[in-house]
Amino acid sequence: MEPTTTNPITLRLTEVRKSFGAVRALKGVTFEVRAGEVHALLGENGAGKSTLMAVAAGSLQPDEGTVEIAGETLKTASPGAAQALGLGVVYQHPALAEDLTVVENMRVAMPRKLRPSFRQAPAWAREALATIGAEKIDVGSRIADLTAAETQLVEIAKALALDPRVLVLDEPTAALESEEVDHLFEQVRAIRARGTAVVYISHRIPEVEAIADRLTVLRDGATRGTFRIDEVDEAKILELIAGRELEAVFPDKLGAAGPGAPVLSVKVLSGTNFDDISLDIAEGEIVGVAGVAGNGQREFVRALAGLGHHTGTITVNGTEVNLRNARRAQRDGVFYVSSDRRREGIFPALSVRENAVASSLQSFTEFGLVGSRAEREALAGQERELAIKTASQEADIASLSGGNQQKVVFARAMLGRPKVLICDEPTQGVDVGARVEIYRLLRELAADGCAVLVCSSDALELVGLCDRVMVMSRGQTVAVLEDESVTESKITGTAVTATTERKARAKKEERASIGRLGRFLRGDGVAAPVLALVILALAIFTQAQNDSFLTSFNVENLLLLSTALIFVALGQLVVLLTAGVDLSVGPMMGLGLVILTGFATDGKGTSGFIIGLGLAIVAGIGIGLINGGLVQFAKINPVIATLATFIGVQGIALLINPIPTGLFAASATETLSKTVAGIPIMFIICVVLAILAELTLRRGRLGLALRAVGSNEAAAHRMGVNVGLTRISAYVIAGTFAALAAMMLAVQIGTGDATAGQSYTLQSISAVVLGGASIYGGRGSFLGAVLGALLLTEMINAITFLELGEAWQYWFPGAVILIAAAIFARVSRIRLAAAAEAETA
Amino acid sequence: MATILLFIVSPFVASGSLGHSALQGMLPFAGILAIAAIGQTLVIQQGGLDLSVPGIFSMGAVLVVTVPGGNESSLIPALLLVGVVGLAGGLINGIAVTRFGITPLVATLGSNAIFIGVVIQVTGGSIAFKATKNWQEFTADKVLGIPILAVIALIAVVLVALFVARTVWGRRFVLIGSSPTAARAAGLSVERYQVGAYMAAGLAYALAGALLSGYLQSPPLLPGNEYLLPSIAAVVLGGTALGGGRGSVIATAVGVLFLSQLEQVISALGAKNSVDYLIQGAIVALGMGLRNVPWNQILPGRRSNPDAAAGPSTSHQDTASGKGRALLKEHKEEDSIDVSKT
Repeated sequence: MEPTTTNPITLRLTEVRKSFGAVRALKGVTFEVRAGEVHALLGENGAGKSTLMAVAAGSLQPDEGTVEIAGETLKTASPGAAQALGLGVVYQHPALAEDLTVVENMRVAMPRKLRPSFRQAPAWAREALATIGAEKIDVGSRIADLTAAETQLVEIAKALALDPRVLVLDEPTAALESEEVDHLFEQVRAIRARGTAVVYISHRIPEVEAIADRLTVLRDGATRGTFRIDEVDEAKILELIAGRELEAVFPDKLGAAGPGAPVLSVKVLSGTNFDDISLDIAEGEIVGVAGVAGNGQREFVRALAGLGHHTGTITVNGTEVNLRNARRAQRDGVFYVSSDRRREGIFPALSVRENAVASSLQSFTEFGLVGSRAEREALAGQERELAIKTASQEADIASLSGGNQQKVVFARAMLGRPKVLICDEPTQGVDVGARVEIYRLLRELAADGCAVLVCSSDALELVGLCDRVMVMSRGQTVAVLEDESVTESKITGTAVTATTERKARAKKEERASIGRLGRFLRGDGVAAPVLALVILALAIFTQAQNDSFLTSFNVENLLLLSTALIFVALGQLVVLLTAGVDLSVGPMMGLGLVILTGFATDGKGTSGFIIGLGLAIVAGIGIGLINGGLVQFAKINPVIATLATFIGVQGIALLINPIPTGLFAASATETLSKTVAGIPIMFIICVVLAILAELTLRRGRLGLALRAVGSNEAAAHRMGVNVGLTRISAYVIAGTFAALAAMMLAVQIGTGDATAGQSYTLQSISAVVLGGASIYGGRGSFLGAVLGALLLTEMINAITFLELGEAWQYWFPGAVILIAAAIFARVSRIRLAAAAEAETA
Repeated sequence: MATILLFIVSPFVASGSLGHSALQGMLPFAGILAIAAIGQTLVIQQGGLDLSVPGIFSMGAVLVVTVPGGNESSLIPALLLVGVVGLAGGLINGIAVTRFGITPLVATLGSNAIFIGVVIQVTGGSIAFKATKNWQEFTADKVLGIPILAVIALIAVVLVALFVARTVWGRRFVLIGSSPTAARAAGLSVERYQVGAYMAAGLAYALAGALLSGYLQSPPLLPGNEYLLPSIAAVVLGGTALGGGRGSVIATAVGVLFLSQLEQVISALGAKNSVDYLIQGAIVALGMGLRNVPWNQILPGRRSNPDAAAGPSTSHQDTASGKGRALLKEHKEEDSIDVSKT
């Protein structure tokens, strides 16, 4: 264990400073890790650990200070550069793109020289997973379908596969079981033996004692010192980390008077992830819910708040209540403070006042009008009561500190006059001062006769605050601790040693079947065969009605017609994959058409055509650059950015050709319409192009990068993908394809009509969505897009042959898009549900 | 502010663009756009986007002409029908978005095609009638010398603004727009309000269409096509963020005035429609781009509250452009599941 004092320093952070606004997250931290040591980094939430490691990993630019990896200074803050110098990171929230498979994620994260070929990749990924004992994970499944533990293991395997000189592990064991932790530690020791420097960030002191050689403690953005592990004991470490006095924080407990009559009574409540829970809370009591994360506590308290399906009976003050949704729950006096303040607590961009009265609006109204005076007075009372620190009641909620935001959320519940208050992690991300206020409030509330239920992962908090603590394991109550037995060791001990088995349930089978069906439906390629069948069915049906539909002339014509839409749809898909959208492709086609009919006219010959097409492509690339720049650098929503260019480009096209003029060269039209065996050559080119694009999407670096950016931008950035470049490339590609589409449009119309392209914007989105692409990014299929475009063209064409009214030209595609989108939305809901199930199972 | 500036500058740049006749010519169309843009504002405030403006607008425009077929006595029933059709169209959009979970962009794209199909079916491809005399006269009327269409728009804007600011429903509407997940946890009926936004929007488009028909006397087949992009542009210029949040119909109305006056100035300068497009596009891009510049950090003394910047997690550069995706991501994020993307 001693070589660590002499080994060279592999990671060196010198005097790193970083501020976020006025908050100084790092106040000049120097941190060194030697080759062949495991160096633990400890500290409370918000102490600066994650910021420090983000700086080390190149994902955050420090205000001052330097990062040195393996003797070389990290010049620019970029994850790719840090990776190239030999730094690997295992993030607590894995940096993986959910829509990509395990092997794709691992592959895209590798720097070029370590990246395996497409063929070797699956075996390589399996091997990497096997080294940490995770060979059971199917490398072909999407991250979205894995459990939290499996995802974490993939993240670890990915970092190890880099064979890093420095490995940073950020809370790697939070989601793991003890056996998996053992495997991980084995690996960590093995790479330490190979001379890798390991940074181990953890809250769990026993783990640190088991694995670390040295440790550094951070508090409030500064180091509290670096120690050899044998120099310090647990008590000393705790003192360095926290330094807070426990007793002063909590109000007195219930005392000898004892609880009063029961207020909330829960009988055999069952729901997703919890079974047969019965619990009474009496007047004056605060009851805690504890357990290892993911054992049904959250679902249980959410069900009580009206935010989860459940069966069983619940009574409040002797009256049975129906908690079907939060509205009903509140009507019966049951209020809830969510653990997820950012998503379920505050209303961003609204004022403190609007936030506070959200649940009790009705009590401040006269004749249906909201009275801001009554609101102000009521809130002023709460402000005093809870010591909310805000510039004014009209201040934006986001301008408050986390603790004060949480107090506003509490004030909201208070203004509703709760009979039952359910708090999930009431003090998460809350400073000590606000913590004291919240604890005092809860105690006073209980004393006033409200039943208070507190779910918390902080056992110390439950010990200090609660009169009784219910410990859950695998969805069931394993113990209800009272009086003296409410201690930290008892709570954790009960939770960890519980031997309950989950109730066998039919759900499992159900999930398996969803799994199989879902997996088929979820595949990116599923839309293609379905579309092909629909196209075929429509052709047969139309032919049966009118036998001139399937003549070689019409088929040829139809295929040629479809090429313009196919080209533009292919480009649209590239953008959609990055979770963007390009509305400007339509006018771009118009502009391309105007350019082509200006240059490629009769008598100009081939050179005219080439110049025209070249200019159209250059225009497409230029507009693509503008679109990409607006989205990437000006951070404008893609819809608005490309809407602006839509209008602008339409203007340019109209400026050149206010009225349709120019004639596309007949020779060019003839060449572009040539057929082989009755199939237009251009259509064949489209299909070949789509196949190539499809292969790139599955195998190539660009394809993986596009999907990673669309799936999870932050993760893609951390994996070393150049997000900006990828996104801008997507818009440039879309512009290029729009120019090619314009060429085929020229074949169709012949004259330079500046507005002829407009309808293609929406059609291209339709085609791509029909082809199974997700508008949320990350998923899509080029072959699907081709078939989607073909189907749309076929529908319009068939309507003429079916002698249906012109209206059907709109109804048909409109209905098909709605139906397809509804099906896809349904499937993705099943996917989310299945993933949630996998998460908690 | 930019609007005031434009109005101040416009007489100097193009004399006559602020003259009496110019304003009289501009205001009716501005009024119609404003009414349509009210609808778009409501939808965007709820985190949606409505591409079905052309369809519903055109249905309104066409029905008010073809149903009476010149017969005055059928005008009122026709107007009622226009209202019902607008609400129904909005209902379809709302249900597609909330119940079926279809992204607003795709849902309204699909429904728009269906509504346009209705217009084609009803008219058979061409409109044989003119608006009834009464309707023509009503829409061309003036109140105190101001075109009635502008007056109607003004009244509608004020009413909607009051409704949103002063009623319980309006307040809940704002809360839900700010955060549907927090609203659900706070006990609000999220879906009901979201569907309501689409229905109100549908009503606005249909009425705007009907008014245009009267003013033009004989409308083109699909007049709504001209109103989709300006309606979104006006909302965006008014500062309502795509992806939901606080929105203001008054700001949207100012955005409408700005766009209309801009068009006026450009045409008074003798430039073509095309230049107008070009400038509009540039202004939307610039307007949005400038707003996204972090002025707080550039201008000294305008620092945000120290606590506001929060810890590293919120201001991480990784998430910098996350907001731009909000619109597209919105419905996926509604299910509060860890594995879903953030």
